[in-house]
Amino acid sequence: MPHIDNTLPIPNIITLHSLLSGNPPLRPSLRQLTEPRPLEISIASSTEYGHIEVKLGETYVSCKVSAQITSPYEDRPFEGTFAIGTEITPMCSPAFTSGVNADFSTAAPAIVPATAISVNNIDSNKEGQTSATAATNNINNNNNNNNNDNAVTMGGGAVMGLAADQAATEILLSRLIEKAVRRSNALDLESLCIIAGQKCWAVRADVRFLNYDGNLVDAASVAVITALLHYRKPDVEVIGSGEGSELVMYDEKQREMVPLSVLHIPICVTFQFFSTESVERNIKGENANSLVNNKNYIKENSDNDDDDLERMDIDNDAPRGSNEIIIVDATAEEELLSQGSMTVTLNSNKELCQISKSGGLNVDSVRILECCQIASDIVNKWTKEIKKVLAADIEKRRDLRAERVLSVVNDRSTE
Amino acid sequence: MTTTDNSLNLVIPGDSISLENNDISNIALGPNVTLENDSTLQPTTAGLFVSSSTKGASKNLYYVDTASGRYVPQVGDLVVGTIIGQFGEYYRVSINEFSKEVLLNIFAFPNASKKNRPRLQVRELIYARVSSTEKSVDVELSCVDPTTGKDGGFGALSGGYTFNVSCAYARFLLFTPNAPVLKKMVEKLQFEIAIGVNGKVWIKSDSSKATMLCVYIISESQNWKQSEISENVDKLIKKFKSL
Repeated sequence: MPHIDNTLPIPNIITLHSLLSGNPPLRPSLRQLTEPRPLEISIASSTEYGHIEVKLGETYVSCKVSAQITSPYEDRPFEGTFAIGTEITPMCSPAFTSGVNADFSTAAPAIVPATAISVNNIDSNKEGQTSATAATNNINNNNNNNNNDNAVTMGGGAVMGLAADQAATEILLSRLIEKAVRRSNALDLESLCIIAGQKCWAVRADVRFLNYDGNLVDAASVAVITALLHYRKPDVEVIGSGEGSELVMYDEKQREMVPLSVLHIPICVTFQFFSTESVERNIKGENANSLVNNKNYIKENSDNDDDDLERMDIDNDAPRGSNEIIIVDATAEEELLSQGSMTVTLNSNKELCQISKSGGLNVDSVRILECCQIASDIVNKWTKEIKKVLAADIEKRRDLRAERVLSVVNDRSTE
Repeated sequence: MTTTDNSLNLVIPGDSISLENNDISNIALGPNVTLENDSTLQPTTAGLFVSSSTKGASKNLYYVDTASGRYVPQVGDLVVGTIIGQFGEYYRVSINEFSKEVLLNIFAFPNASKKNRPRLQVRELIYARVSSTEKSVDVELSCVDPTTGKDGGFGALSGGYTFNVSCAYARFLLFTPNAPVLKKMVEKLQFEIAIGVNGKVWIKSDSSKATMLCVYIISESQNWKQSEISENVDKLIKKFKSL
């Protein structure tokens, strides 16, 4: 189990940072920066449809799709409904607590003010060791002088994973998945309509997180879309018309189950950003003063908007994204250190469904385009994997005897 | 089942282990075994049954070593912990993620006085010894070697990297003289290591890259066969050099 509570020790932070900012940048697992962990998709049940388990390294997610017949929303009489349930429970990691009253002592706030860590001494050309020692000395100095609270650690703007509090993680995660799968129209809702305005299918995808080692979003998105592709709903037929019409549902033995109409396969790829520069921000010292100055300045010149904007821009002390390191598929530990994340959702036709980046390190637009390119390669790879698993499963479920009987019945050859 | 000194046998609950030596006054029971009757032992969990008699010690020691389970502090254990806070005369130390924290007295260092004592910072790593575990009372650590009163290698660990292995593997690395992985690593690499029986290993080499290699070798070696170790270590070093 990696260090996944917020007590990532200082030596680890420094070593990981110097690894990432080294030349070439390395990850703790010696994985390539843009190489995801091996994806393993398995069909959980050999009889049921739509129950998928996805493993991305140690991250383990399960998704079960179910459907029932309800009445459609009044304003959308021709559409069925689709909902995704993503609840994070302590099952995947004790760092998550169940219920609304999450224990915030186990989930670190978005900006971890616990220690003063200055990593500005780390020089990528020098040996890591000397720089690490220098940084450690610096920490001790800071500690003695200012009682810990004069600087902000790395791990500034990480939004996913434990670096943010659980409620935020959960909301962000469910929104990302919703946007990726539901709002990108991956599932054709109109095909779920049975009788307009009266009966429709309500499809539900329930995601369960079974183990947490970073990157829940990507694993969950793969699980949801694979489960949707795999799911079969029973065939229904409307007999008669008007008042006396009847809805007949056929079970598996009577009629072949019907797959959902999935229009495309959107997959999320999450990037984490690290700055190789110092991320230390002095709260007590200069910047605090400059913030105050800034406020005064705004007051004085409140009639001149342009000037204010300029001034704000200069004083914006967010880490500059000039030489940021970008990694994909972060582990829990990497997520803890990350200074910003971005989720890109794509399908294999290179159609971009969403880009979501909430706060964190500033990143050049060119790098974002690079990210999309990287994401596209990963999406292609994963889409192939999904299709391979589904094809293998269809092969496995073929009922050869029934097929032979049917082929005899339907045999029209004249021999 | 006959047992010989330092032998390893897989046992499961329900087995009965008969002792060669029927003199029960002469045995000491370790974890996970109970005495069924005068001459048989019963394991309470699945694992490897170990019986050992050290030369000079009057008693035979019997216990079942199991790979599963969370770390439970025992007096005398060597642990690696993270400082997570300070209150009054104590540091709060986490030796196990998501478990109750333990205490470390700020004076539990060699020659510590009110003015002269190590000032540890939150998130700093320490190597310490469990000094007291009483029921219903917080577990306490100490950084003093009780036999000499000196530091004995305890104290803050600066630099390096700490990672988790299974408790059983940590015990194996710590208590096996010349553990094969470490023996092989010593031939090829230069490093400092601190192994806590709480399943945490701290390692430090001359660069962060080399540290990571050591981390990688040790955490991977949990799943290696004895015969593969030498080959795999060489392979990893080679892979690492190409990076």
